Amino acid sequence: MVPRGTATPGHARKGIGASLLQFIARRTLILLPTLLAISFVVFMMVRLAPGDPVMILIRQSEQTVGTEEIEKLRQDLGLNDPLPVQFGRFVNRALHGDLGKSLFTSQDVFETIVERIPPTILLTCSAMTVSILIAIPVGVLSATRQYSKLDYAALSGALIGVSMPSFWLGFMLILLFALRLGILPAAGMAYLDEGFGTFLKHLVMPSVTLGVGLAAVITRLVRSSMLEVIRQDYVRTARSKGLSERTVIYKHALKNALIPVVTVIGMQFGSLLGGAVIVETIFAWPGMGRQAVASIMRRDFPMIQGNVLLMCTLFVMVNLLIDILYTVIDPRIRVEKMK
Amino acid sequence: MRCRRWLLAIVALALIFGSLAGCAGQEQPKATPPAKPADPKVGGKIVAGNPYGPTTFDPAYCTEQGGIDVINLVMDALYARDDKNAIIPDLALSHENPDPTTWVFKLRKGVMWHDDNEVFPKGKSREVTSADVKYTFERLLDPANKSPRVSLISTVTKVEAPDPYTIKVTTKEPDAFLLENLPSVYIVCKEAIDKLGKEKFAKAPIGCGPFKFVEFKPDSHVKLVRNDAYYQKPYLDELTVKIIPDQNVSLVALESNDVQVTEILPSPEIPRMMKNDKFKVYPSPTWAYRYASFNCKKEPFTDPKLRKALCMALDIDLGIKAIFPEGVAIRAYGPVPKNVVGYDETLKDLWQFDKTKAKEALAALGWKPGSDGILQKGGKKLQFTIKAPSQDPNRMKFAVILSQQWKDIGVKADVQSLEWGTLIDDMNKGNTDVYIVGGFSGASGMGFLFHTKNQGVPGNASFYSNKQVDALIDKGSVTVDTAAREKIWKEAQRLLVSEYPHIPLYHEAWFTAASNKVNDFFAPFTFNTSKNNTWLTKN
Repeated sequence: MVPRGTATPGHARKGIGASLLQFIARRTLILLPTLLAISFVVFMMVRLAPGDPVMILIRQSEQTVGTEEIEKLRQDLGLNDPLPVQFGRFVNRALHGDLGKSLFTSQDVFETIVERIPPTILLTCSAMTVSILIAIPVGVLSATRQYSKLDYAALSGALIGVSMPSFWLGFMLILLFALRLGILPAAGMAYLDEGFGTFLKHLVMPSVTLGVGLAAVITRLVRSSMLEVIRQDYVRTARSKGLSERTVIYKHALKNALIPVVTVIGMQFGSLLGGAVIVETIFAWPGMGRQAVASIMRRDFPMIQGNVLLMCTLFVMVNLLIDILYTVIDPRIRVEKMK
Repeated sequence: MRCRRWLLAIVALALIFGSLAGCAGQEQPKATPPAKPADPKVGGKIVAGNPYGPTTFDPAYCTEQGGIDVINLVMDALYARDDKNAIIPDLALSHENPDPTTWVFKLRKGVMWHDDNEVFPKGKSREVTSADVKYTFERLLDPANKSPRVSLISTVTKVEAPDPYTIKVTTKEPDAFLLENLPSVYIVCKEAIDKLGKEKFAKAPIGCGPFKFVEFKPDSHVKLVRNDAYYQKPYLDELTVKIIPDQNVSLVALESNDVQVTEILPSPEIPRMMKNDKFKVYPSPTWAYRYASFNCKKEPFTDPKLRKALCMALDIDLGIKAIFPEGVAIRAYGPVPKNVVGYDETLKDLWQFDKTKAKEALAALGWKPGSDGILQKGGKKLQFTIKAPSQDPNRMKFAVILSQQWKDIGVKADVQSLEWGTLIDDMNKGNTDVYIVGGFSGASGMGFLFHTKNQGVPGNASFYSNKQVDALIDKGSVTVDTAAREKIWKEAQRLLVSEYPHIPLYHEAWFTAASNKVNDFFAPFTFNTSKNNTWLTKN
């Protein structure tokens, strides 16, 4: 532990910076074999699972094609090639930044997915903001006023939030705010060029729907983490030194209590980046989740693989950012890395 | 005690919240008297809710309804369809058949490609000619393009453009379906595809239709504006197709005026919306065929007499009544629905519901009840699985109804819900006993569903085979004369239906709803044809 009152000397700061860079470089290098392994698993799973994309395409389009035409279509799409050849082709192209073309639309996979990243990030960030704005104050108050009415209300609210299906909450919000009150739009995403007010109005309900469930999880975690920290000796010491309760809680206790919370927030953030399918479907939000599920239903192999690859990359990068964030929150981790 | 009070308070809050929201659907909007017919008004914007997210607007590659709905607004085909599903002139004004394998089309003059874009600057567009039609056909047929839509015109061997307004198409054999397929062959511009490239064209199409493409945000919306140069200039200034996958949410959007049209109404809401004077409800001009099918190459379903006996135990009318509001689905007696050449009402004679006769027929075939009540023969129980797609609740419900009705006569039929891709796979491989699906409605679909050559593909997954039926289907496919073709289809239908490979369940329409301010609209998503031009009533 870094002794109090000791500033980190210049040479030590340089050492910390270098080891942090090494840490980031190491994690980035591990990314490649991780993605390769995941790609292989997904590749095999979708091809071994029942369902033929050509048959689904024909059924969907209701085209009356014969067996010869079907075979030709399979040939043209490369589906008759041996599995190692197909996988090798995919990896080779991926290394050159080409994720292939959709079996159904012939559109570039990378472009199709990337178009949907900004709406996904927007929804994820707003949902996380909603959940953090609710969870941290409520969790802290609940812990500092343990067994009070506020604590029980927070716990009950968290239980309801965790148990409540997001699709139900989404529909209730739509019925109330869109139909009954008419103050928010029922569905869809607005872009900034349509006006900031319109943009926000479209964002409110999906963010709240997604954020409430997350807030419930994080509230409970903040509460239990705070309860553990406020019983520590250094907190008692801080109080005995005459510091205000506010300073004790928010400057000393909360920072330490946030470490496990940051882990969970990071994991939630990472998984939300994969798309929140139910919320996206209800609110017609043009995110990655809906598009990913549609590609799975259609067995659009290149699109499935592309989705998984990009989602994994985002997830790993978010976790890397969380790890870096730890060093900001906890200087001990910073020093450990220097060692 | 304190805890209980808090808990009660929370529960009460939740109930209040829920009832506030729940009340939203119960109160009927005030009915307004229907508007008097009025002169069309120019101007206005419509936002139309569409559940299908388009991914491409290139008609050579688009197989999904969402993309086709938009293509239909931006591009023209030689022919279009009206609200009765009849073929009406679009780019072509007329056609002739000098011989069974030759079609000559006369094109409309003065149709211009969209301008004010990357390909044609404002005011510098050019007329659509037969060369464009020729290019479109050849592009579809070119194997290098690998178009999944090639089957629309696969019999075409040559396309000629003897003059700018005449197109001559030669087929390898008489094609009874060519004219029916032409409304799906949208004419494209060579310059647009060459200059923009296939991928960019697919995202920002340039056509000659009533509306010009402005903007596409994937899974969000497509914005279109009026094409002022169109031969039937649209009244609407702007049309936005808003993608809302959930039908219930789309309905809320309609009722809260976020959208003025919603393409598909959830079936339980249809009666309520029909009574609401603020909206108009339009049935689709086509009916989709839904059926249960036996796997005719698997025992015991190889015997048509057994299949007939099993069918006699089913009260399908009861199933339709239990699942659908009135008018949403009608009983099917054969694969060809109303409004399609070949529809035959007399097939009703082949379907009788009589449990007693069903039991007798099964007994005559040697199926006797065992100790557990299940019919058996030679030590084998009459037991099988009904597979149904999980994403269609109506078909799932029907599977349960069939299972129950068969149980009443001692047949054990378990229901298995399968994801769509998995079900298609099972059907293709013959890994089924009885399954419930739909599609391929119409006479052109009959060949795909029943011809021996299509066994093992997702069409003839019943593995039905009858050489006489094959011959009739082959003959009908090359009979261009409608009356003669209809006679052949009816004969083929009667023959195959009497062997009971399918259990036709219902023909299902879908219903589109629009604000009563929307006029001259054709369901499901047609705003401008030679027979209609949608306009908005102004307040």
